[in-house]
Amino acid sequence: MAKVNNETIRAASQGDEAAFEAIYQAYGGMIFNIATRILGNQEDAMEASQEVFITVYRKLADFSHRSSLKTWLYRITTNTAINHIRKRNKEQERTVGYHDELEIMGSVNQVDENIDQQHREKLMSTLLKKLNPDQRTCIVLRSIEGLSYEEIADVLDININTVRSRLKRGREKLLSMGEKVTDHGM
Amino acid sequence: MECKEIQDLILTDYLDGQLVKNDNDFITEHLTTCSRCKEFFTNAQSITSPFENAQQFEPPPQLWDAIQTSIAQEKQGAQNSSGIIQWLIDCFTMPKPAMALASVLSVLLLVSVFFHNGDSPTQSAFNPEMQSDYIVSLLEYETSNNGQNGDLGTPIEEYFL
Repeated sequence: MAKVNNETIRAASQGDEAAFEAIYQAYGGMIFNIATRILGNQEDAMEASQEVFITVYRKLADFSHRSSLKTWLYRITTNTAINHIRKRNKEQERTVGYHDELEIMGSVNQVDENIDQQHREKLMSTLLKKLNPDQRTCIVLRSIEGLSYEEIADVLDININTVRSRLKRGREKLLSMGEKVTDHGM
Repeated sequence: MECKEIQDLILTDYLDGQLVKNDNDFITEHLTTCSRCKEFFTNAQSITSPFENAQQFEPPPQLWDAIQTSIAQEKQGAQNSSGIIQWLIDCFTMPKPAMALASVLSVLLLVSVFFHNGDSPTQSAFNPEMQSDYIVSLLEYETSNNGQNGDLGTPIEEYFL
């Protein structure tokens, strides 16, 4: 991921289209990925990513450089994605049928190097859908994006112990799902 | 440290490599002796490992097009609203002579409208043709009565005297 310098940020904030495109080229993939992981599908992720860049266009002039541009973009992206989830009909979230779910969850206990990527993706998506938006966002930022607890706290503007608590509760929920599946003899 | 506390740390800082070295070593050592915590750790790993080396999605090419379109609409909207705002600003910041002239013209316009509306309906309905007929009739009357009324000149003088 190419880093965008302050001159490019300043130019983009003054309406320079090439500079704005440079920001998109540097961070568009990252934003789209986080949105896809949090929202669970690429269609919603595309809509959310578009919204993120409109917000960036409107607010870039107010960007204070107190945090890095990347952290600022993480913040806008997670807020936008969480708002999308909250707006979305709750029923839409449960697109995976109960039996499919048990089948997928059964493989939680047999993850190995040979698991194919497509199945891993389906498993990841199912696991994330079990979590509430706050827990999901913390797990995406930690386990997929590799942010430290301190960075997550900065992005989400929450206490570092709240980050710990959300990760713990989220993982406990995933563990209990694994146990349920094991109890069903999967 | 009890197993419950250790398991809480396993689910968070230990799994994520966020512990200081001493605490990390303590838990690693504990896992070699406590089978229950060891099993808990194995289960915890199984729910985090699917996220390792997650696939990176490429944004679809139409995403940038959609962003550009939205920004163009945003700019257009901003121009329209800024045009109205600029007009209002111009009204209050125009040069003083121009402002004074505009004020005088506005006052004159208001005064003329006020007086025009204050006229009686009969006067305003008195068209130029009627006016000229009236003047001609007065002249004819004066001419026809000239000398008959002595020093009296007009019908008005005659009325009052």
